Amino acid sequence: MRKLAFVLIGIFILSFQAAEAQKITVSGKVIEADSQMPLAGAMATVLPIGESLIADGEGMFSLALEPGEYRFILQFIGYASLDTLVSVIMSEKLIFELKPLEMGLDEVEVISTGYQEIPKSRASGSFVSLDEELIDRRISTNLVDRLEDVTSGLIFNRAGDQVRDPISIRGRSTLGNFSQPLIVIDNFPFDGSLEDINPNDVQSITVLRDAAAASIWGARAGNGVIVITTKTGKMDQAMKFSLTANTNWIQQPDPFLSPNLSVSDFIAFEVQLFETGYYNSTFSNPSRPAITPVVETLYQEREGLISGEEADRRIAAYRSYDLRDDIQRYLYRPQLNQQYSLGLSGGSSHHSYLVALGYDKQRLSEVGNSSNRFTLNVKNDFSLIKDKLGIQLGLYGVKSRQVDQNAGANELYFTSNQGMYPYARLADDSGNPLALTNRFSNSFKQEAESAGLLDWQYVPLDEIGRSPTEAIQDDWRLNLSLDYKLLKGLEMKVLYQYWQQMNMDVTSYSQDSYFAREQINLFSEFDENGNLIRNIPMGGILRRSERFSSSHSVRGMLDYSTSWQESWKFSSLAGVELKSLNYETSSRGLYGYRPETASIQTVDFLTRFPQYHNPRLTSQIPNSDGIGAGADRFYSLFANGSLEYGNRYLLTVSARKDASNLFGVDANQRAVPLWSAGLGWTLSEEGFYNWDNIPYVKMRFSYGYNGNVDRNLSAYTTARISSGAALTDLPFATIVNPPNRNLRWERIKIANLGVDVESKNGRISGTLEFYLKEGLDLIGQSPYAPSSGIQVFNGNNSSTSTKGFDLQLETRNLTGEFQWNTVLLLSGLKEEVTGYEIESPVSSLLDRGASGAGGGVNFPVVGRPLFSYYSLPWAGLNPETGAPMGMLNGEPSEDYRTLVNEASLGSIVYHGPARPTTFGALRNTFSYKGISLSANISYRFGYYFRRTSVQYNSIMMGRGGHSDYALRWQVPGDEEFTQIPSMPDTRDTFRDTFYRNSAALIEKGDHIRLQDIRLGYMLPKIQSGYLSGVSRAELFLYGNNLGIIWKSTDTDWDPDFGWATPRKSIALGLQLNF
Amino acid sequence: MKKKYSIVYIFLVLAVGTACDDYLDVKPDQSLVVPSTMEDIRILLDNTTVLNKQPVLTLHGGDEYFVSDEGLLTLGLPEQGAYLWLEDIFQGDPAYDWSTPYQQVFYANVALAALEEVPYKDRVDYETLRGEALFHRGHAYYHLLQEFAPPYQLGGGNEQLLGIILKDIPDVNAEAERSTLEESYSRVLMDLTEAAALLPDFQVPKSRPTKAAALGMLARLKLCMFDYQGAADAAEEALEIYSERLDFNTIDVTSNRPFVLFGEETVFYSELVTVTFIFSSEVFVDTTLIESYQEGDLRLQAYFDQVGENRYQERGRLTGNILSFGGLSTGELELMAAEGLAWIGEEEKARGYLNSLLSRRMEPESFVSVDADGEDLLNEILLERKKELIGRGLRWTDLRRLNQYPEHAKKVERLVEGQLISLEPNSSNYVFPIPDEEIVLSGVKQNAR
Repeated sequence: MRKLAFVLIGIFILSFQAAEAQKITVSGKVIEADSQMPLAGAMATVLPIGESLIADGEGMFSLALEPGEYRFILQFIGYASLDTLVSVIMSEKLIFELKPLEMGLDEVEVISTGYQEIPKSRASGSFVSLDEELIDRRISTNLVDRLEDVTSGLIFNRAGDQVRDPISIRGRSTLGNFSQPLIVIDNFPFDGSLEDINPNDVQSITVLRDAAAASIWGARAGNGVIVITTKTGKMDQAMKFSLTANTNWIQQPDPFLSPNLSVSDFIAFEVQLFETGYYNSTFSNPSRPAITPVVETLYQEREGLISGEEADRRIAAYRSYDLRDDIQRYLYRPQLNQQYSLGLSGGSSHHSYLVALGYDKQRLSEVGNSSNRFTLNVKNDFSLIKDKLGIQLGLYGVKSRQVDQNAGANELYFTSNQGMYPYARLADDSGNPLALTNRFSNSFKQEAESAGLLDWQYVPLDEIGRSPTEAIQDDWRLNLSLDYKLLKGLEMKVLYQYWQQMNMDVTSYSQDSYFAREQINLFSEFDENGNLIRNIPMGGILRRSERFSSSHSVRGMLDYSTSWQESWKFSSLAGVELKSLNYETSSRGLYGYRPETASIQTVDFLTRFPQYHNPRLTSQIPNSDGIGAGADRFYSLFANGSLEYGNRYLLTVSARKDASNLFGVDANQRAVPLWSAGLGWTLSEEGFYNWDNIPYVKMRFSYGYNGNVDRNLSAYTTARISSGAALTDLPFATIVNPPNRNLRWERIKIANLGVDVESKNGRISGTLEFYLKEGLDLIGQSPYAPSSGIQVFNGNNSSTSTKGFDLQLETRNLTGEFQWNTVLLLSGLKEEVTGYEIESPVSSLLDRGASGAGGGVNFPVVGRPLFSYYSLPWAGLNPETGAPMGMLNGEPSEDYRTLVNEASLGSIVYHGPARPTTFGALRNTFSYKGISLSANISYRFGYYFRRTSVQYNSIMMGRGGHSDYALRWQVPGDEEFTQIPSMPDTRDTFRDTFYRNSAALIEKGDHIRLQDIRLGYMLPKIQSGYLSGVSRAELFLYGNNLGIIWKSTDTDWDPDFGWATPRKSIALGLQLNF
Repeated sequence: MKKKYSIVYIFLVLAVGTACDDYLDVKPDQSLVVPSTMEDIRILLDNTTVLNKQPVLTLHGGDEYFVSDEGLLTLGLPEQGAYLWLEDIFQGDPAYDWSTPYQQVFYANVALAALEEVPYKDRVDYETLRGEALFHRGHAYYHLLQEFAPPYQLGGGNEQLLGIILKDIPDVNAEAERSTLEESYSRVLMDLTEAAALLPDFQVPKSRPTKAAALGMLARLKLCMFDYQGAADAAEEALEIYSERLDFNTIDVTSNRPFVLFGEETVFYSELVTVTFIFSSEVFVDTTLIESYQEGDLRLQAYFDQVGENRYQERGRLTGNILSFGGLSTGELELMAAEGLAWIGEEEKARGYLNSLLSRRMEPESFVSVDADGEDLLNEILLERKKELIGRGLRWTDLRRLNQYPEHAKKVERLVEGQLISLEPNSSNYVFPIPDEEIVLSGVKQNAR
């Protein structure tokens, strides 16, 4: 791929041939050595003039040279390079013969496991490698995003606790909270956040998918391992600069995507509820809760404060407003991400260096919010004492800062259990910010203000900038490694890493902010003499939390390799690794804060003060002071070895023992031994193999165990100590973990069978792997009878199995001037929970079977995937009434209470998995001269999703609801074209629950998506002037989240994102090397 | 200090290459402990959020309040269920009235087991902590019995009735089975009796149980068991130990919060599980009850707000805030002593306790000593129980107990959406169903309703 870039440069260089008088024209032809066929697209580099040329369809190239001696380097993908000296005396035709590579795959591919770099030929395990070009193909601030749809077997989850479990490598073999792959950066597990790694600093990524690949990572490798290597300089290379700049424009969030009840329907319900006296208890409530403007208007009309006409006029006006218009207009804007990076690298024969600076600036979509990030990558490598001693020094630093001044639409709430009324206006017609009713009634707020309290008005647009939250992060990594060749084949290595991270979050609620004003007001009271006492002093409120983490990691290992009798090769490595991580946290909440004098005032956190809105309620002043500390310790022993015979047979073994400071676990349970073994057989090296069209075939098999650990668990009863109980202010303990004597680490058994093939000339190459994963001794969280004193219990009571395959196929469909390459990724898997002791409650399966309840609480059913969709059988709408009907004992029924309460595992419908079972991507890249076009199409099949729909309970309580209301059954006959139930006469939560969990709302998620398109243009090389030093210049345009090409569902619903469809983006960028 | 050397330490360990248990003994989170020292157990038993709570739905089921039709809809489902005496009270919602006491039992059992493991322990500390744990366990069982088991039968046959699930050890996997009612009550009796023997006379703060608190709980229990002599003895002993008394003439009964947290009246602090009912502006105090307060009764002002015609709501509570108090007060101790003594015919002493209480509740000019005797005296005391102890969750237990005497039985009635519904004396609806969650997961027997 990288060579393609050179090829393109060559094309432009060709067009800039300057014909000068003394020069003679030299032409060359590149052919394949065996067949003597021309090799179109081969690249010729001519030194010392540094020109690169591309062979045309006939394998020909030509250039004009002054007579002299030149070095010709000929390169072509799948062929060994040819480096030859030619004396040019007269015009002549040179023939260059290139030989196909014996083992095409091995030439470029070296796999990093994080412990060692091994050639692919010596690998028996399952690896996926991403090179720099592929990583750079996508534009994102975040490194992880760049793995999406280009990594075989890796999927970004859109269902099933996807916030905590965003990525799965070959399914999920654990039930609890610890489901994420281990991330390794520059040889050590990474403790920081991946958002901090600048993608431009990454050289390569390797994903380790099976036991043989990952077992070197032992107890933390159960979910797969992602090994990231950052860029370093190269020895013997002149100084090079590289510059990357891009700007990414991301669509503004669209509030209209949310399926909301229309404003006029919302108001109609308020009017109706008012007439039935529904709000009477609100009017008389001593806590003076907020009343929406429509209800307030009706109230005033009833009390004779305003006339009927006036009331009608006001309500008609409210009907014409839509809060979403204002949200779109005033709170959001398109997001703009800018990314710059500048690198400098080079090296002499004993030293290489690299310095890279990165700057990312994001103008976030909420007006007023922004973030930026600086990254620094410095590398220095030395090779000393006749190359016996290698020293590598690395420093990686990140400083990032995000400022949020605008909480967006989420902060717009009416009361604690109701969102903002949909006819609220953020500004009047001339754009002046308007006050909204929230929390307390307007009359109460006005009375309070006239009694001397602070202004209690809530004006959302004025709030922007009044309570800025600043999140600052500093992250530094220092790497030092030494290797020394003790004897021939024996090498000793010591690696050390120091990492530290400082996070600070500061929210400064200025005295003007609604939050501070409300806090001050709530804690205001009048003494006997009528004097106003403010228990929270005037001034702002400052909340500040800090976290400081640091770790030392050290690894010592011995590397031994030897060969004998030419055919035997042996290599091994063994060592020990220690890691110690400590963290400290602290938080403060300060009152009466005045930034201009940097002063604060102390408050009384102990006394329960009456609350102004209802003096019978008392409350302590919120105290956010806290402190915490903790540590992680790991200790591991590891070894692996490989034995190869005659380039054909390969045996690998690997073992590791891990121990950590798992709390409350007996010492013997801390450690777990894990191992793997693998076999490789390069069939094409056998004497009897003579299929010339497929010159390379390798079979691999591996088997072994990885581990996974839930570090929150303990064998003993564990309690967490907190300070300052609300009642007594004494320290108190809360039991967080009931005793479990049989706690063990989770183990994941993986068997993997793979075939690598490559056709002649590398036109077709591919890898197909089959695997079987079994999660054993998995920790399952199961509901416990309340009489036990706990709600849930964690134990090693579960198992899972995953069967699947991953296919990666690359074809070079067209070569020559117009090139067309295709990469197909196809993965299929079948996941199933094979052991789980507790029967998950049916109500939980229906409601959250596909998502889990969060916090690692999921609802496994033996024989089904962990995340699955279940529903109540649906018998359509009652043609008379439009009421939804379920099935009870084989008959349609409207007894919703029974339908919901008596549902059993046997009576509910199992639809299928919530996560795709067949998925992958198809990436086509076309290039012609300097232009390249690449499009990635992703597809996901074999899964289900649930739509949301109308819930009448909320609508009929005047709290708004779903836009499906407008499409509901209204008159007999409607059932022909709608499945949305009619509105019931009275609120019926069981009817809502039945419909919400019915089969009517579950659909197939299968779809194909045009994920992205990248258009690149390699600028022609400028031969003279100060730009002549530019060796490579590419302009590119990148569009992401382009849309769905095909989907199974007829609705507007996006199977993966629901109504919140991903925002489209377009990036424009430039990459320069000189 | 430790940090400074950690790097040196790492290299040292690496060089020596030994597996190092000290290195791995560091806590992953400093705030975690395995409760194993007296200090750990102390702070475990100071978890007021868990331990100083008790079930609340007895308030809804009793005859002290009524809810407007609109207000009823704003209550949680179990609250509505308890108020309407539905067969399925919880309607699938979490049943905190069941899970909260069992969580307390678990904490108590963890503390009891850990106490035995502590190698060197101070005897006094050991006794206090053991006493507290036993108290909390007995306290929790007592409240479970009031909702989820039939009332203790005056006529006997308690061995044949189902009680509650008893748990002795902190093993969450231990099998759950319902004991008989007799076994359940005797277990509470055992726990509280031992607690009373072990606990010190005084403790600060009042969220920690004392000997007087244990005796008070014993008195409550013995009243339920119709052991009036025992109840009177326990209450009298408690009153002797705890000598503070609150005279309502000395407080500002008109203030927003006439009582303070951990005040003189409070012997032991416990609050009812927080529910909407307690805060609702649509829940009113029974009008007949309000009318029973005589002229000059300071409780009328201290306890209630008049919010409309015949519309009274509670204001002053011993929690010092809006939460409902369920702990032990001197008023309750005096009334238990008086009632127990009245039942066994020691009327002189009974009148003494009653008058002592009333003299601290009435304005001096309105106070008239009670000189009734026989059934009149008992009725007077029972009425005072209603007036003094409103909103504590005690009325439900009294109804269950007194319904067993035909002359004291009461049919509870209420008007809901124009319909009169009623709870007959000794109805099976006086026993709450065991929550579905429990039935499904542990398979214990359901109550007949």
